[in-house]
Amino acid sequence: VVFSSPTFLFAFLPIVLLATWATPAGGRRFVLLAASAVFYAWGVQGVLAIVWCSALLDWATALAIRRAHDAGRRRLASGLLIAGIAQNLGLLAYYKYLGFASHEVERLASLLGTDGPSIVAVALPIGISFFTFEKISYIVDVWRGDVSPRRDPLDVLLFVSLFPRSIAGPIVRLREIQDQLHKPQPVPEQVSEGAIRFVHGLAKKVLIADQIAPVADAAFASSNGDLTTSSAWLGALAFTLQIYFDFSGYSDMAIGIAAMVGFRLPENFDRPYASRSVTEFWRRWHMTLSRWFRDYVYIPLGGSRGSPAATYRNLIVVFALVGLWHGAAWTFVLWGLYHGMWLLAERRFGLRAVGEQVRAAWLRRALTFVIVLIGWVLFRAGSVDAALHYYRAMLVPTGGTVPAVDGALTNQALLALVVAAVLVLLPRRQSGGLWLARATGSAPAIARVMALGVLAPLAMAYTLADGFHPFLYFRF
Amino acid sequence: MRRRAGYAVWLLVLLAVPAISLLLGARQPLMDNRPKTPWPSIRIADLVDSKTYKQLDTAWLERVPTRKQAVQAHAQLSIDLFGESTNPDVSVGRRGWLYYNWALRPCRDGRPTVDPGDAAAIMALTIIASGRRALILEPADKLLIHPTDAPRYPRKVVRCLAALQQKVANRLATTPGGVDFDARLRRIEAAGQSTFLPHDSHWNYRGRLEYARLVLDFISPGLSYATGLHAGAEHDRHSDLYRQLGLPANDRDRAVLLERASPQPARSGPTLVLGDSQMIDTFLEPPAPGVATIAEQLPQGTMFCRIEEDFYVGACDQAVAQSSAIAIESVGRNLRKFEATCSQLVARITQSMRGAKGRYALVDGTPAQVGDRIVLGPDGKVVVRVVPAGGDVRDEARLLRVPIETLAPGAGVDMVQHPVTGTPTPCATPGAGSAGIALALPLPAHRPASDIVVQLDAPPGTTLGAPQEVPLSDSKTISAQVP
Repeated sequence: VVFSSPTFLFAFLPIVLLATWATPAGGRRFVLLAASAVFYAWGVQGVLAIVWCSALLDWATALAIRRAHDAGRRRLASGLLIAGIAQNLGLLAYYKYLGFASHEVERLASLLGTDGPSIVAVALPIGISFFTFEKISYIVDVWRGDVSPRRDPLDVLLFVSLFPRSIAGPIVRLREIQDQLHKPQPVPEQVSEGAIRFVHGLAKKVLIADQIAPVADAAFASSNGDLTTSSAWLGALAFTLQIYFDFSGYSDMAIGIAAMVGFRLPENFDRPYASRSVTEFWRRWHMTLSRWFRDYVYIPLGGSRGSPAATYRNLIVVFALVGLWHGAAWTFVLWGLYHGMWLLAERRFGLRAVGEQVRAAWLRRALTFVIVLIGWVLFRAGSVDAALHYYRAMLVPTGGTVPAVDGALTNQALLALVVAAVLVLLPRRQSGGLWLARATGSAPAIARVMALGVLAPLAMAYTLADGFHPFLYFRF
Repeated sequence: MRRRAGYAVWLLVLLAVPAISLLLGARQPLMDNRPKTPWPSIRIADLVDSKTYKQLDTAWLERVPTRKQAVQAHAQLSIDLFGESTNPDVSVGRRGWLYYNWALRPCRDGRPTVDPGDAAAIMALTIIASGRRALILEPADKLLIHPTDAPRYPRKVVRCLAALQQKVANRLATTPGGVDFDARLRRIEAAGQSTFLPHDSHWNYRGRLEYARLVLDFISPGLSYATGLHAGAEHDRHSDLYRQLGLPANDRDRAVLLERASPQPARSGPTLVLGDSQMIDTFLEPPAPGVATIAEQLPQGTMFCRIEEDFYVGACDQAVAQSSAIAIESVGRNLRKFEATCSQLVARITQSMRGAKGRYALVDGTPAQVGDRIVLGPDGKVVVRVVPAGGDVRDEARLLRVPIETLAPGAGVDMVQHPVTGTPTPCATPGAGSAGIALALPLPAHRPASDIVVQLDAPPGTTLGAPQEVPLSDSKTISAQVP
């Protein structure tokens, strides 16, 4: 189930909100745990038990690590940590990468002229990449002594399966919500902020991302040789805007729902397309993922403390993993490496542009946008071959347009594209969601009223109308 | 602070209103042209099945009481603000005219597998050769008859569509029993009078009147005059394309009525009127509230059959057998399905026809016997050419019959064409399921019989009788006698 589906919006969410608010503080976590179980079962059935068993193992591992630490048995603690990480990565590897690995082994075997193993297909539990990283961060933080292990296993179960962020993040660390886990306290100010953030996210997803999506879909579906240069660039631009408004809209909704049930989740986006370098982009795009890789992979590998060569190696390793985390396919790995190479180049030539004082800021911003846009082609294409076809269409001038792309570029899609582009091009300030929820003064107040009075009903109407595909007239 | 708390309350109200109004008894009207999806069962076994959740999503969506308003608001906003439809099957043209995108199907979703002009001709000639009178119409879609208000469709597709439709019209104009109905509609359009409704995929009263006159006079010459066929008063008519958008809007139209009924049987015998939605609109729907349908006022023995709902499921077989005249209307957007209509009709009519015996020429397979009959070998497959008695090529269309003499009960014979050149021959019978009937393999004029190679699949031991050749010529009508 997705946040913008009618079942979630008009049944699940109001029931959960009312139940949470009506339940005394001590019982709220049970309400949220039950809601999360239902939400989870909705996505992929039959794996909730496995996920919860794994979470209980984390709970026990964390307690054992603390006991080993307290007893001065550091090697045992480290062994337990490695076992805990292996357990989590094993789960991730089984569900997310086994199919990919078996496919690659089979391909290799066929190249060698032998029979490979049969290709394995495993249903992917929703949000497994997110909660696996959260579970790993929990036991690592306990091992590091950054957080105390939870005595109550229900706290860990709720941390792992808390529904607002279980599909698409943000990636939360237990220490960030540990005060709220046992007794979630939705206070009115936070609830109202949450409502505004939720509506903001819903509008971004339904009124912008979903309207643009058909343009990108049409362009990427045509990448088998018929794609023209203008249609290819239009499709790439559409996808660049779609993925931002979709993903950040989803994060806004997650942060908003969490706030309404008493949790404060970390921010995940900070106007990434306003970045003036790829390095800066990764500090503004999917911030909780970047932070996770920084703290749990890059720095443990040595970060930038070693020689330049070691730093470059670390960057490449981290971005190859970032790519692989996004999906079990070579296109994602290449996309990660593409970004890693740009980060490496910026570091090598002093172009990281992280501070506020940057020369030719608009040019840098435009260049970064184009670099990121080109990278998204790899991300969106179904295969490396399809990506190469797409790049050829973008770079080798071909006249004309693609009828399917023209057809998808309706007036409504065009307006959504223009609005999205304008929002992206606005000056660098704080993110729209934060401004809308927290800023004071008459402008944000009017914007809030508009968001709730106009955008929310409109987005909800679009959501309900989206499923209207009447059976074609009986008599046709 | 209080004002800010109001934001959350307002959001909750928006989210909860549908569920609360459902609990208070509000119900979503039937909007999807089909019964609502039932709630799924909630047994433990079902809860681990993803279908249960999909069904729950659909069932809930179809019951949210505010959905109708949401769909209407969305559609109205899209039309008024963007000039666009919310349904991919409907496009908004000039002056708010709506067009049904299925019209593009014959050229957008793949061309018809056989020549539709040949199919139309074969259909007409087969009916006539069976001793019946024929009236065949393949009216073009609104897009081609009333193009002035049409949306900007891809030119290539429209050109293809126009060419395909013209080919059929030309063929019908020169085939006995065929009528170029498009030319009649265009004549009315040329006088500045539209023949289609602005927001509907069907003809308005002018188109219906023209069609009804043609059919009535086919049933019995002068019948339209005798019954006083005319256009009545204006009334509101719910528009089907608006309905596709979820909007309740209507078109103004006039009723097509008879002044008096004609209960006497037609002198020329019973007529079967076969058609799609245009036929239903014209003859089977009450022209105005409380008024009898035209079908109810026509001569006894006039039978109506809907292609999609009745004919395809075999509900019209008896009517076909009883008829002495058949009038067929199938609109241009159904061109790809026209061949299915044709093959089904030809298969029915073929059973009462006989012709000169020919023989089979073996191409591949291991039949026990080849010559004027075939017994299928152990592999249950044979690939043959039919060698007709009248020669390989003829100036007139022909119908080759492949009789099934013996067949195991419950089994079937499948026939697949592998033409040496060009497209398969139209209106052939794809398969049959009992002994004593024949598969039809029509051949358009000038098409060499040797060009058509057919693969026959059936259980081993199935016997196919000697093929027969029936000339499809109005001057050489074959009497429909069953020995």
